[in-house]
Amino acid sequence: MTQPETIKIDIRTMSAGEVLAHALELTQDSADRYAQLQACLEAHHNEAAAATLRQIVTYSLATAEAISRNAALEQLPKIAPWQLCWRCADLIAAPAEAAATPCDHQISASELLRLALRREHCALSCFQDAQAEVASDASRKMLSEIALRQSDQIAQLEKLLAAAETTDEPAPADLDPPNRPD
Amino acid sequence: MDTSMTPTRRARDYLSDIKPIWCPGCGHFGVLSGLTKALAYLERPNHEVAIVSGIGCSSRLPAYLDCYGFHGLHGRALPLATGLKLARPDLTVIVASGDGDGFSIGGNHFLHACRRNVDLTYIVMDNAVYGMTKGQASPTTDPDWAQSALTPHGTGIPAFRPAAIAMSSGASFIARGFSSDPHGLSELIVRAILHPGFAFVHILSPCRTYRPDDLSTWKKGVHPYRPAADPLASSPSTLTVFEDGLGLGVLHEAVPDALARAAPSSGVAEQESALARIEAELEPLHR
Repeated sequence: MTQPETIKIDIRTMSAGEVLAHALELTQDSADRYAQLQACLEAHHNEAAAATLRQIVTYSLATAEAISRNAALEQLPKIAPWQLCWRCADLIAAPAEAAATPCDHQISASELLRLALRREHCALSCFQDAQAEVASDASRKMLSEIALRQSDQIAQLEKLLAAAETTDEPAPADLDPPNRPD
Repeated sequence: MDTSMTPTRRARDYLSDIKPIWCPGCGHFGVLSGLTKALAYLERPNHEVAIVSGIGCSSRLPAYLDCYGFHGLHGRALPLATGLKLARPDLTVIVASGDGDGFSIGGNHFLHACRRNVDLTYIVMDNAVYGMTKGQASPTTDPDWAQSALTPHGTGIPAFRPAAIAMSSGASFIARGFSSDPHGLSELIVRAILHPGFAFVHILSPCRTYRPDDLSTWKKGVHPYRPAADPLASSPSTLTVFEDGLGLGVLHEAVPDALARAAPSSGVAEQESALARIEAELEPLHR
């Protein structure tokens, strides 16, 4: 291999296999990143947020697992990460309010859940928009199933958020606070 | 796109069991993600990859990857990696550094690594601050940043321009990525690894704890790099004067001169003969 792939994938012509490969990348990567954040919050002694993330990871893995059950039916194509069509629009060149998203070692469980919900809603929009655009029936059916799983996950997170909002405590005092200058 | 092949490697195959202890929201998570995605795309076997680092938050990277790793001395990752690549040219050698480690303590090595053009991929995670020592100005900090007690009125020193300096020093591949876009970053890292010479990838990787201002500035400010229409304008002065430091993509790529001039790889007999000559030259020193 001398040069990476540069062909742009068109959502309208996506096969069911390409849809599945995209969805798996999105959900598995999401679960991995939640797990990393969980380990990191544990290291910073924020037990409440880490416990919430543990639950989020469980839900994410269940969604990824449910989606991957379809993988046996499809020949999964190899898609370069930069060719993935589904990127949340506000990840780069973010509007001002998105850039101010709090995520630090003292984040509360409810703040964390609101952050996760925003990302999961973004994923659901990707699936639903693609469902409206794809030409193939098989791809549309696949996207419909994936969107359903994603909606289930969002419902679970919303339940968690409702519970967290009633029990949320002030941000925990960190055991190794950064030495910020006044 | 190759639609006939099911991928055999996944990004998580390159992660070790050690969990990162970077601060929540740290940009370096995105770099780790971009790097593992790049390695998975290239399907490099873990035992054919080596990561060498210096000291700093960024330099924790070798611990988090399941491949050969060396966490070396402050600022000395490049000479270590150069030695490794010369001894084991079959390895994909990736060097991880930060703006302090790479541009200040190891600044001299950076210049000469660009010039020597050894086939290394050098990723520098630039957060414009010394984070591990709790927030002092680094070479890439803006002169008016006054949030550190050590520089209460700012440094007053113009910031280091890594891409322009790499180009002045002869680097044959220069790219800039952003940690909030790990997918886009993975393409730059793939291209850097495939480049047959020294490849420098400057990564804007915000420090959530000590430079939250950079996170918002960079998120709002990054844009695709627009190369000058005039090829003669692709020069260090272009990168210094006309470039805002937030353009993402490949900034410069050239056929490495040193490789173009290199003789075909010598055989075992020639290598043994060269070694014998060197030993003969050193012989008087051993007496």
